[in-house]
Amino acid sequence: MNRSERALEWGLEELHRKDADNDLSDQIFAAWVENRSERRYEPMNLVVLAAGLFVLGLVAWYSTLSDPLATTDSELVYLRGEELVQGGGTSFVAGDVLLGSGQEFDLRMRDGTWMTVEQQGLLRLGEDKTGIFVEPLAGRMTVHTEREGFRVVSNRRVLAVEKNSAVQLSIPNQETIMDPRIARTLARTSAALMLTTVLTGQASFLPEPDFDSLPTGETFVADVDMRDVVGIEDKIEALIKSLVKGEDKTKKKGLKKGSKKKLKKTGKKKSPSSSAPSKLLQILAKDPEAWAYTRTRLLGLVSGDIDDAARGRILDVLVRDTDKRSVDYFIKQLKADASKVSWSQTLYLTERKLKVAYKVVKNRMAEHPSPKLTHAAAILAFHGNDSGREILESVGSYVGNPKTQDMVLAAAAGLWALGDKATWESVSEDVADMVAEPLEMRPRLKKEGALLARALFYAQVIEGKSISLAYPEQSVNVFIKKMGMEMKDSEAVEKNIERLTGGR
Amino acid sequence: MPTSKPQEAFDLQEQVSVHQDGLRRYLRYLRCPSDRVDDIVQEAFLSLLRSNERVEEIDDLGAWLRCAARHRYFDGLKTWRRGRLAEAQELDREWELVARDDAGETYLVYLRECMAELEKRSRRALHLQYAERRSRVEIGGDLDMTVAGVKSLLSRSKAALERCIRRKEAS
Repeated sequence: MNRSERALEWGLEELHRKDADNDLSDQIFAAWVENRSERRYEPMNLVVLAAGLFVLGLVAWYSTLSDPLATTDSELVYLRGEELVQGGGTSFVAGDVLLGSGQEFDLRMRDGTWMTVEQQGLLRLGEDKTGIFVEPLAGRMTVHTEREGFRVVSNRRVLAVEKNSAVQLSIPNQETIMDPRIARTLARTSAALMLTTVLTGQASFLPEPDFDSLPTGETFVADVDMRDVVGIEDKIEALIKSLVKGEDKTKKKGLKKGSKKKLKKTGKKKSPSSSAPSKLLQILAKDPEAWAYTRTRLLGLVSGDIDDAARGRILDVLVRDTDKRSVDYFIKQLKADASKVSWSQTLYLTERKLKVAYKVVKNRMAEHPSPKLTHAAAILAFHGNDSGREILESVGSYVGNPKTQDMVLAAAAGLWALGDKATWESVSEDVADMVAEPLEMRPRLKKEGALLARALFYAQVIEGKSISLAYPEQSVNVFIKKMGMEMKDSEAVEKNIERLTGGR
Repeated sequence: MPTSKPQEAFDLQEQVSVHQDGLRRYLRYLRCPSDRVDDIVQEAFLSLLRSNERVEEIDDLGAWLRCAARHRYFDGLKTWRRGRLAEAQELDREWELVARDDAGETYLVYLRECMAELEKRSRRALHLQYAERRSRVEIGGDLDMTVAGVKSLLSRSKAALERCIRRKEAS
């Protein structure tokens, strides 16, 4: 190809581009640029600003006096201690990262009131001593509330908000938090983000567990009301400490002692295979409030500054929170709105429901292809059904389209993870070219592939023996070795692998 | 910690609106992957923000931003795709000839005009290939042609476009 031909190819591509430059990352960058521009204060604006700050200062001072919980850490919206909020019929918990571009969603507080958030960019639900808060990570958000007196901590000032008023928040420290490099990493690589939600347990659309349907395992725990034993909070704290430090303190102290006390009363046997964390979780399954607290604490910890081993132990506990009802929820949601499909929800699919899911995902892919659906297909394919694999293969037709690059990469990771290079090569020459390169040469693919591997690994763990044995060629060990992963997870997880793969 | 003092005086929004598209075109000409294009463009503007050079003292801001983007892209290639570095460097040298001094705008205007001169079927075939991302088999189905026929049609259409653009450039 000579210069003239290259120029023509480029020109034709340019002329036929379709909104490729208007993705979320771009919008976030534009919002960031706009925000910077708005910060260039004109003299008149400075007068208005000074007056506004004075008034805000007075209000803040008053609010601080009247609100002992007031904090001045950063720019946050607090929801006043709710452990869980719902938006659009979906539950969110602390740690969830919500993406949006000019969209509006309602968060319903537990007291029944609503807060409307107009979102442009990324926000995260966080948690601190005062409760759950909404924190803009990039872009901006506007908050409307029908509720009096919720607090906005802004620019080191506390503002009491009147009923039905609106507050607009932007990023407090542009140089750090709103650096578009951070924002786009989170925003555009939706593949990595979704996989990360699985990895960390912070699924954006993870439904609230159905406590009634949680498997209780050993029946003796069903009769135990831990609140009647001794301080469940202490036991939860002990569990958390043990998970972080890697010491099973609950086994030695809290739980065992409490359980024994009840065991004597009920006369039921203790399963020798059960571990302390799982027992406590089963007990917590009968106490939704205590479990919500524990889960929120664990979700908060898992994204924090802890080592990989501790993270693995916590994830191991969190993935045991298997919600069978969420399968129906997933499919219902998939049918209702494909954009809200959580890849992580496919982790909870049972074999019976997989057939339905394949069909739904396939139909949805035909209508509205997306990276999330591709991830779902990857998981489905890993479950061994050809339909999932077909979906991944069909992604090859999107190669070359910048808007669907994440889909292709997701499919690439999925197919690679399936260990089927032939499939890769049949997808398309371009994808084959991508996969032909060693994974080490493609850091992004490696990252996604590794995340996928971990996620699939957990899928295997919670899906249990039948799937693994039905498809032994896809054993977790083979696949993890293929991904070059280092296993740093707990012994319990290692045992699960051994069990699932039959010791291979 | 940033090593240089960020600039606050110039209107970033305006500079982004003026230079962003050209910068993107330039990177795409160098065959920079689309996901990297956005990253590098944003990095270039961040470099400008954090630069000690005053914007008003930069003679050719477009060239300055291209230089920043080029360094960023080439650095990336050196790390993870060294094999493509030479090709990118070659394309970079070509860019001046293709883009002239208006970020390729003139070339695209000529191309648009030349496209209008093509037969309807040729335009349709090019649209299906570049806008709809259809395969030759699909294009053939749409235009009721064989795959070989589609290949030939696309080839002839592109050759016609090249001739047309050369003619316009010469005039």
